[in-house]
Amino acid sequence: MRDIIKDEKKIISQAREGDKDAFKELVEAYQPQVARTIVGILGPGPEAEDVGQETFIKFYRSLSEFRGESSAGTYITRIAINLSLNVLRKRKISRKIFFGKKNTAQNQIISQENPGNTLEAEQLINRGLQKIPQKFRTVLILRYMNEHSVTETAEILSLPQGTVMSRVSRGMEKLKEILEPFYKDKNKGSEER
Amino acid sequence: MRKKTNERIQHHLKLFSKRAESSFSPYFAKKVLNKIDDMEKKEKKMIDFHRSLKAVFRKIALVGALVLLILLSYNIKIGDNFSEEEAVFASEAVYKELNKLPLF
Repeated sequence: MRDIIKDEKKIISQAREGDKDAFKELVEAYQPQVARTIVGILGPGPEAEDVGQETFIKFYRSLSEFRGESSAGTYITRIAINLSLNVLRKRKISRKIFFGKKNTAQNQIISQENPGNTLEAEQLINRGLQKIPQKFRTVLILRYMNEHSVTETAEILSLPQGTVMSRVSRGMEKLKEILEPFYKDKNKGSEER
Repeated sequence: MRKKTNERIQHHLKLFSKRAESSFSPYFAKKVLNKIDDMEKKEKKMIDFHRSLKAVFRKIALVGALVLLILLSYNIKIGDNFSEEEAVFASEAVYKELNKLPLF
């Protein structure tokens, strides 16, 4: 995978020796990538930022074990995905406790609002992403939000490239099923105007 | 139509990714470093506490061993006939009582 910063290995070894400025450089370089991944999986909010902080803390703690076999970007993204999935699991459990097995709250939000007027494109995408199964969501986020290649996505998720490709296309289909009605409504609205 | 929807979704995913990458607070890196500093301080405190506890226990153990040694030599000195059991306050009678207990 491509390195985001120059002399990444040098900076990592400096950070490993306790150089905080070097580690800060790593955080600043990978923050956008981590934010895209976590916000894509969890949606925006303070929880996402907490997971972001946890991601870098975990990376800092595992610097001594980081051998550089994969790039720092791959390694950090993996941590971010794992921590986000943990949060999703916790959310699922608390949802089950408070709302019973099936939670229709999110479905209701989407169907009640008028997409043409109130939902911005990003909000619509975010809600669409939250509605598709996690395995498709993660792949779409890595491919289209983080702009990783199929090879890079496969490396991050430790999946065969074929699986990544099929998940991308199935994920897009699922997202289309959810979003197409809203796009149609929006088109109608603009044509009527 | 479907191709257009595909492109639209990809375009919106890119828009969302731009929004997402700026969603962390501006002092994010500083916050992470502060947390790491706090964590390291806490860990250092714990290590110091363990070290001092270890030092105290070493002293207690040494004093205990010394007391035991003094008592041992005192018992040997005042005893009429020397036996290992008597030196460590374990007479035959005590052994018999212990044997009666269900544990043995």
